[in-house]
Amino acid sequence: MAWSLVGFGCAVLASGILLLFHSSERKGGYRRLGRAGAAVGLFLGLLWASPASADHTEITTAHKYWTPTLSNGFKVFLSSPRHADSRSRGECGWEENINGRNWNRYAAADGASNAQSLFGSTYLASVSANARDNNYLANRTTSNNWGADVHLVTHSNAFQGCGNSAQYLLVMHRTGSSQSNALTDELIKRLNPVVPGGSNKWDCDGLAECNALAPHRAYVELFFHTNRSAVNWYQSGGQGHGAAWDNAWLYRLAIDTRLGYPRP
Amino acid sequence: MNGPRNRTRGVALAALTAGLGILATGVGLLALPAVAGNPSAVLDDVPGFGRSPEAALRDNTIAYWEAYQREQVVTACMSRSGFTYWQDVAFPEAEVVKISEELKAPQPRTVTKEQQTPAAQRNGDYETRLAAQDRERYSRALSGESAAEMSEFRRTGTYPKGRGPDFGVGGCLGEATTEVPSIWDTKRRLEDQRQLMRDEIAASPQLNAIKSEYAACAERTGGIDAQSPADVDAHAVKGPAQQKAAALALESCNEIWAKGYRAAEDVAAQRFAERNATVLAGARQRYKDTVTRIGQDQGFLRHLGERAAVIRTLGLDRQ
Repeated sequence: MAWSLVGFGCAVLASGILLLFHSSERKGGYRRLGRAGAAVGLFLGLLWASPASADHTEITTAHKYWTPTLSNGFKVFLSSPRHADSRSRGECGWEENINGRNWNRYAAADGASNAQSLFGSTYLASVSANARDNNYLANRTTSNNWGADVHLVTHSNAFQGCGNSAQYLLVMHRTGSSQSNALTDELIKRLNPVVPGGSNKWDCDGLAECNALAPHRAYVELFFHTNRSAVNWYQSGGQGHGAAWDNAWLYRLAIDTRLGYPRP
Repeated sequence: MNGPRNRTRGVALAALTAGLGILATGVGLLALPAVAGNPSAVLDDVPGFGRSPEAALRDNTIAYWEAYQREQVVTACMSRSGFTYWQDVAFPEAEVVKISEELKAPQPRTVTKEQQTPAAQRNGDYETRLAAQDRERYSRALSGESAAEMSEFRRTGTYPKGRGPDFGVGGCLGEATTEVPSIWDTKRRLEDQRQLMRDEIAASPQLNAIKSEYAACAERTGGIDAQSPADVDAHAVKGPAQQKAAALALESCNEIWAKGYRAAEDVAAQRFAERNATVLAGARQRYKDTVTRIGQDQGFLRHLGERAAVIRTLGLDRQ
């Protein structure tokens, strides 16, 4: 949001300068240039500031990384889906790889309030790639090599094809890990009131990403992308309208609750 | 004739004022995490536990170097089996650039198309082009598992029936993990002790002492009855309107909480260091010459410079 404001501010400023140019005593071409420039500047600013800058169309091989000037020392790796067949997994709306990464980005830094994001709360946050390459093992290895304290996976769930009625929040933990179990409980407590439908909790022992080395790990299937109304909820947007992504800060709340609100 | 022009000038000046205001707000929000004060540096001298920016960068540098070494082991091991393998050092890209700058790794003038292709893709393409029999040998050499099972494992993320975390970590990958341990091993091994440290901080007199100051701040800035950020968050979950007030209180009162937290953390970290003195001394000993060795590892510095150049060329370090 901060970058959006910077961009929008620059554009309004530039538009003002160009309008001044337009209102000057100069004639013809200069004035037209000023007016046209102001309109273009404002348009670009609005474009930059819009929620579209949240990258909910981006498929990338890059891990995004937020480093606060002073960090609380805790590293949070937010893992996104990397299904090769994303787009053909029964999605009613956006593809699964986008869904997971978009939520992760909002939890890390792009939410309605910077103060409530992981970055704004001085966590070192990395949002993984979401390329369609089945390379989720690269997410796990990156998290392990980086020394993540928290490894949190976000996918959207599926049951048969688009149009199915199944819908619930599912958060999974690693059996035998008290930290994983506690983080899972905390995530369900926070997310269940805002995600449509009920909630479920079970183990993710059979999934490779569940064996990331971070002690605090959980695997979230946020909603069913095969359920139309759940998709509508998710795609309702974010940034200050009380819509779906504005709840992504609840990840930070769950993590803070588990780690005791560490601040440098 | 001057009327419309004056109006336009008025609009322009209003836009200038609004633009400056919005810009200042944006810049202010960007700078938010740069709170005053310093993180606890009690454990800074223990590799893997660095908290100051310098010590944290040292730890990340060692971690990246170790990851690189593991990939070197895999490359050599695969070569012994007669296969080509491109080392694939998995690490957040922006951090790789930072490490490269810190070590002043030599940057190549140009980045080739081949260098821009991710190692994972090159390895995947190479494996796919192998004849079926060689592909089976490749898979067993790399991970200790059959090509068919690995292919299914990659597709689904699920272990084969009857298998668990031991799956896919044998072969050359296993050899690398055994040969090159991680700087984070000690931290992970001491997680229970770290939890104890966090419990001590939560119950500390230092955090208790700032509660009334925090409460006054939360009331003043957000109209919220809260003695801690946890109380503010409890208010925020009530709805979007409460969330806005809570965000303001969180931001405004952050330094009060941080002041108490830092003081509590210093004491708890000291106790943690005393309780685990032998283990932490082991970590210090293991890494005592590592930073010097990294600076002299020309092969690593070349790799690092190249990797950073590729990351910058592809814009992978942008937020």
